[in-house]
Amino acid sequence: MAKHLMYGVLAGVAIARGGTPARADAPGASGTAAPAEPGTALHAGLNLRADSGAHPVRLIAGIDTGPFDLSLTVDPMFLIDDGQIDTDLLATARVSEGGWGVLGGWRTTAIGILGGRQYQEKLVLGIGAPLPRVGDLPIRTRWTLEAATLLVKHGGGLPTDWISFAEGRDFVDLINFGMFITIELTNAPR
Amino acid sequence: MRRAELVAAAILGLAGCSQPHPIVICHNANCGEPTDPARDDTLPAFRESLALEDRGRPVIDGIELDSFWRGSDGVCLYAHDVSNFAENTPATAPAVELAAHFAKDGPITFADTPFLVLLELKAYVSADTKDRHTPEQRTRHALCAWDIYKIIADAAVASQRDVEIEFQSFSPDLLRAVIAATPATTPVPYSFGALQGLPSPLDDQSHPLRDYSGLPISDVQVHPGFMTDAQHEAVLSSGAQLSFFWFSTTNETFAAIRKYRPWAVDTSEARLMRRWLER
Repeated sequence: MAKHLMYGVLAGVAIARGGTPARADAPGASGTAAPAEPGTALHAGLNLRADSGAHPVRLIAGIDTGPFDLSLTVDPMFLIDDGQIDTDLLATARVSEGGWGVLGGWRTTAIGILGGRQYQEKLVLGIGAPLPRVGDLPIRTRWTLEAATLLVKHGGGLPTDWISFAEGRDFVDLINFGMFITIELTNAPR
Repeated sequence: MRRAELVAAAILGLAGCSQPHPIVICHNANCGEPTDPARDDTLPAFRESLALEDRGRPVIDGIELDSFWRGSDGVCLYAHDVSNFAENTPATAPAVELAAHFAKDGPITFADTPFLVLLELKAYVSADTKDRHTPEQRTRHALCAWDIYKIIADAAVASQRDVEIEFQSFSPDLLRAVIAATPATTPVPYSFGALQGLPSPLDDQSHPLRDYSGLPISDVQVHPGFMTDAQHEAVLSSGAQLSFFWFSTTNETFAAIRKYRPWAVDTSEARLMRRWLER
């Protein structure tokens, strides 16, 4: 599995350099990427956070069309065997010239339990903004504030449990705020 | 062992991330999934919770029983609050059923540890959480708590069960009243716990730990989602142990249990917690 992750990171680097995203394991692979759509950039790197809303270090990759950004975050930290896997599919709509955006998406957290996994499905809403670029490095960084609402838990041989708003005890634990930053290689022009 | 596994073991060891093993308490005697707070402190949920088993063993190591002093008519109820004004179950009712549970054959806790009963004395006397006990109401509520203790303790002795009872409350004054009303004989061990819940303005019940000064608090039960590091340090420096209560389990809850390693968790999802602990 670690080998696959290494290939993924190498593929991300290749994407950011404008190389082919395919087959990073191919010897000498550095082919020419298909021309991107005007204004479209690819990015890949790290999704980092200090709170416990998800694992602190994850891998992110996505496509930024300018007004719209779509990203997938996957979780390598299950390798340390704490039984948890956090996966995000997030979309950001740009709302200002400065790059501020509103974010919406989904997070699936798989919790390892005896006899299987419980899946906790969360609606993620937030706002984000770019951080200043450092020199001419092909690196983009963004900050995001999120509210993650656990809508349903299922799996692991336990009954499915949907959120309810009947009284405070039903939902007070199911809405959690967090922040993360992404540090990614990108082929976006300066 | 493969190299990757060795590295993982080393990382876990360095990080202190081995799986914790707190005892599992049934929150509000209503801990069968899916969660339904409307059934908190009701006899049907209590019975179902006591009967929870997983792989042939009891899921829980103890249970929380709430007593509520209804000021309007001076009745000690088995209730979480009086949002349901039709509530009239006596506070002693679950203790009577718990006595019958002790008399049955077979284990009553997951790992044959002592069965822990958390007797929480609710700190207000009407639907308004700011409506607190008068001194007389405090005394009568404390005597009610000792009535519950006696039923459970006598049953534990009769059935030769290892049982411990913790009186806990958001109100230090209620715990002082309990101590003042201590009976002459106490056949099973008992202790005292402080509760630290949601902060104001979400909830107005929590008192700072300094308000419990002079009380023999051995357990401080905290909501992990609202606990600060300063609170954690305060609990540790007080000499008490840390335990958690909450309503719905999320990955943040699991992370807090890993980080702070409470000695007990008071959960509304006992099977989920047990399966996570034993994975």
